[in-house]
Amino acid sequence: MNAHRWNAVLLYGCVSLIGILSLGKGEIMFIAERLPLKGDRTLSDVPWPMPEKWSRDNDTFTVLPSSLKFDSNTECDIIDDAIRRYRDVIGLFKHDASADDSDITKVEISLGKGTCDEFPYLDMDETYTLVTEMDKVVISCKTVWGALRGLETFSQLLFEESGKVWMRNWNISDKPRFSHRGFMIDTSRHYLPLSIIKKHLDAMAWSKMNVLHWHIVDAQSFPFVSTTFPELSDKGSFTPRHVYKPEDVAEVIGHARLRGIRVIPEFDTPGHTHSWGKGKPELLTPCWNDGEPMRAKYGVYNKAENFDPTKETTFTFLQQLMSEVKDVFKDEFIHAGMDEAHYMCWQSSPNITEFMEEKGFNGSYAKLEEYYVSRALDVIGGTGKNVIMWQDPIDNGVTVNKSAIVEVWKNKRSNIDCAQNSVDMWQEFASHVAKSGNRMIISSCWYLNYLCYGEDWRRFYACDPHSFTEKQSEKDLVVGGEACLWGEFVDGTNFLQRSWPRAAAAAERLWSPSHVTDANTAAFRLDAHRCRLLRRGVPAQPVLPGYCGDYDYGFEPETPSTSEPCGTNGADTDSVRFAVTTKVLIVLLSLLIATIP
Amino acid sequence: MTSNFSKMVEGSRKMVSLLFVLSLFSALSDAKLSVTPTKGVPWPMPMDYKTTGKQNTVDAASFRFTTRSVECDILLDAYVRYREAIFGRNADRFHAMRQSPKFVQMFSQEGDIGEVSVDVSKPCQGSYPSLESDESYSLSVANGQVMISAQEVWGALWGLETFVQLVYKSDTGEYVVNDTIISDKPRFAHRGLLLDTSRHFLSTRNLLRNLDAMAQNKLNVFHWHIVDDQSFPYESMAFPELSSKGSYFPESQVYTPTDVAEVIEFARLRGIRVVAEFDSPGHTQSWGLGQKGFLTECYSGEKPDGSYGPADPTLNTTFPFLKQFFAEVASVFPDQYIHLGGDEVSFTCWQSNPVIKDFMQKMSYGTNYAKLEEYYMQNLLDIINSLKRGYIIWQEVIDNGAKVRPDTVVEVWKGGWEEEMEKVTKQGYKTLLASCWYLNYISYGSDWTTYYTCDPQKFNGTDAQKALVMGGELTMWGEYVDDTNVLSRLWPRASAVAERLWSPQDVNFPLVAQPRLIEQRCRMIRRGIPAEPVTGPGTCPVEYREP
Repeated sequence: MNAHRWNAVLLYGCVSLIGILSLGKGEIMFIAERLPLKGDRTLSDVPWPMPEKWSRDNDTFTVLPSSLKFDSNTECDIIDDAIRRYRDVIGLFKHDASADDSDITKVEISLGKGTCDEFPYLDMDETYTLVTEMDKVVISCKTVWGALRGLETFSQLLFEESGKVWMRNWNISDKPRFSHRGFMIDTSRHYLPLSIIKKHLDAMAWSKMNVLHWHIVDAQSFPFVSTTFPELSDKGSFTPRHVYKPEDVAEVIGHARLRGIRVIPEFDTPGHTHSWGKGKPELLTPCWNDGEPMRAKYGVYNKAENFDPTKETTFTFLQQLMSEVKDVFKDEFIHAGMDEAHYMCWQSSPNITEFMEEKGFNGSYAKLEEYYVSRALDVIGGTGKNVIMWQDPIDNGVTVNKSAIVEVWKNKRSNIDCAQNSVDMWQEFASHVAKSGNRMIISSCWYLNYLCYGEDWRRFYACDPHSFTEKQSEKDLVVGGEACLWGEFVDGTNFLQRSWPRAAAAAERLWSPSHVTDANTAAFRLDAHRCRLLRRGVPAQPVLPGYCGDYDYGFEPETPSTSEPCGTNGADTDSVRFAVTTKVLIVLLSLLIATIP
Repeated sequence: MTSNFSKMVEGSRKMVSLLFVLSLFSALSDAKLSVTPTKGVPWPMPMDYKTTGKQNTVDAASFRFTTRSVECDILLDAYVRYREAIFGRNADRFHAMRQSPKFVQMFSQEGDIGEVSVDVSKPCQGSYPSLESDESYSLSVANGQVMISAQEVWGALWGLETFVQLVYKSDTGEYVVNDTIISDKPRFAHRGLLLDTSRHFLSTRNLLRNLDAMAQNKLNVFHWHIVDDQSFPYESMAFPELSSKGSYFPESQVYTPTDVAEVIEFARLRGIRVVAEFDSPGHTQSWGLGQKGFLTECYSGEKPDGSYGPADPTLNTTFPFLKQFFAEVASVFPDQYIHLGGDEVSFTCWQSNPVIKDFMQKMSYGTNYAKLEEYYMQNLLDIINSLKRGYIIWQEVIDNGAKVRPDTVVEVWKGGWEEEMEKVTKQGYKTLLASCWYLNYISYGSDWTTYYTCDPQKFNGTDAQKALVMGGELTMWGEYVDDTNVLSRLWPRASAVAERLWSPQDVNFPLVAQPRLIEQRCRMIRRGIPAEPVTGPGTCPVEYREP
């Protein structure tokens, strides 16, 4: 430690002690006076998610964000872009940019292999170490992905106090507990604007989540624009504006890649496909009622639903679509859905019955489902991609290829059971999948769409994806988990608020060691993290009463005028179009007349 | 009403309702997936609403509001707002165009709506809404003529709001309004919304946006639960330390006198009363930070343990302070009513304090601390009385037997509200229901239907008792709500309450209301409010974007 640092410690020791109490600038309080907060507030400066190993002492160093150098031993656009982003992020700290010196002058990023991967992937190496040395912070890692995680951690170590930015003396060695740390978004039940998806990806990266599971289409709408089958979105999207064009998808993938986030699309079949039928009616099985095809049975089935497995054209279509999808999406996995293929429509159809007899399925609709699943998986396999699918085929006794990853989503606890003592009940499903030997992703306990009043993040925090077994071999099958926010009651108005910081609870569970479970202490760090998200532009909702230091959401930039209720939400374009009636030329003409003296 | 209306094929509200039900079921059987929203049907449903399918196009170029008789600031401001509500910001451009008389002459077109004519009987310049406001209005649209008439400006405001909601986009993309006759007035005079700015600070900007949203739903009371245990963001001129020490962050998380004045004025122009709540003697921890000696010192054995309880009624400084403080409140907030809180007073600290114990003995209260609470409230009520203000109080004050002014409004918030309202009205007090509408308690799915089906007059009592129900309030307590989520969590769930409090009692079938609620949500989104989806999958023609 040099003399200058000693000065800093002596001069600012007192100040920084106060600083330590409010490092994250998150200041949660009691709900009611008689319910004081438990837990250890002094850990609120430890990053979220908590690193595997860390230590810090009370030495504090100044950092000058505006002149801080970032050095990397590797040429890589991912590193360059990350440096640019984190320069912006740490620039948010209030500080006197004209100060002439600081203790820490450099962040050194040292990549072991010195390679620049193109896209993130399952089991990528996200390990890094971070140490404070003399006048610099050194982040060492094996891959760019580790560098990204290390930079995020670094950005979380800084804090502002008395007009300066500080960090303490840290020594961190970190790696994720699970490789697959995902968030599922549903853009079919409601459309999510690109700007929201990109902000969401930012928040994911800031919480070290690394998979965007994009449930891009479903029964309600088909916003994915296929160049092979444009009619799917032409007819299946809510409106022509509610679509993701190829360039939009590329933008999401690019944004995600730079943040070390994989984008896995889900094209859910054979059920959940009503919207596909709008552009391609022949895909769906005509349901029968009263001896006639294409007749709905209220509350049981629609006029047509589920892909029709009896037609070869169904699989030809799937093959064509998947060979487009495999190029559009870069990840090695495609999520094939396969959930909730309700049999009732199939059961109503004589064509299906006939087909089953031909195939010798002996009246077993599970066999029919198995037939569909194996054909569909072969199609996806034929594109060179691996498959993820929901647990349902396994539940139904369908034999599934061992290479497929199975996502466990069911939970025997009622969706609306908010009792404090109620417990998640998904473990038997995971055990069942484990018996088949498939790798799995757990999402049952992280259905963020289901709400409970108050601190429901604690439920998400308490869920351990290994809790279904004692056997190491079965634990090893779990590649990770996913927070799922189904879209029935979520759109651009509330998506980010409902996701954050609740998803961060799952993020820590999936990253940090299994022993990091004290929710009372985590609450202070989570609050600090939510305030960090706010500061970086994500409207994360509150954890408990309180405030975020001198900053709260919407404080900057300065508020726009409130006298424009129609404001910026597209009403202008509507009214413009409205004005462009047959009269518009005459109107313009008359204006000319009026202005010419 | 013009003679042209005799040509209208009239449909009563019930027939319209029936049509909704039919269209709903046809939509369900077709797709099972989404409900088709209504087009140009108002929320909340007017008392008397007749409409036909005959469309009038809105002539954007010549469109204007004109005042028939009494002109005032409130109307002029409303005209600007509502022009924008229909046309968006480009309204200004059209406004410039139609300055040219030649233009008006050339392009005002038979059958198109070029003018909405507003007729108000009583003078309204600078006036404030009150519990006694006449909010009734009538509205007719026929053959391109639009007429809104009302006794008071408050009715005219709601008439304008209704008119704007009648405008919809035709299949050919034009803005149209169907021939319509409406005669409307609210079922309840007090239709309130509580925001809590203590558990989390809410920016003034969002308070104003929320007032806009309230006006879009004809809610007329902003109950501002401005301070509480957690923070004291109200900046008092007489006692600045209350907020400089008691707010979360005095630089940015306080309401300055200017902010408060802005909220009140913004609300006034929308026909909304601002009722401030300064809750005491409990829920006052934050007061103690800036007003030493106001709170009771709690004892642990023989010594104070450093913690504080409710206000200390035994000190001779307490009531003079309150008198001065509430005199300021009465001068800042023009409404006739002040909300005094009075809920959830914990007796534990009072019980530990030896001075309080002595006082209890002196007053012969025994160990009945409810008596001490009553003593405090009585003194406070007398202060407010002397300020010539009425008060609203939470139900506990009555439950504990304090004597209150006959015009007191008692707000019922606890479970078992039916018995409580029966009791309160039996004693002859006006009452408000909040119990059914704690919107801060969230749950999965379409919870608006439970708010929608709670009727505040559904308790045992005489007609005279029922008549004492002034209305109700929905609450959004702030524990888990701040600027990030307050508006999306409120709307359109609060719209369900708004319709319950405005529309006739028999407008109470959620399935019928749903297509209209979807239209209302999309309308609010178009007007800049991030109203969240509450009816399942679907979309709006214009999606929300952060301003």
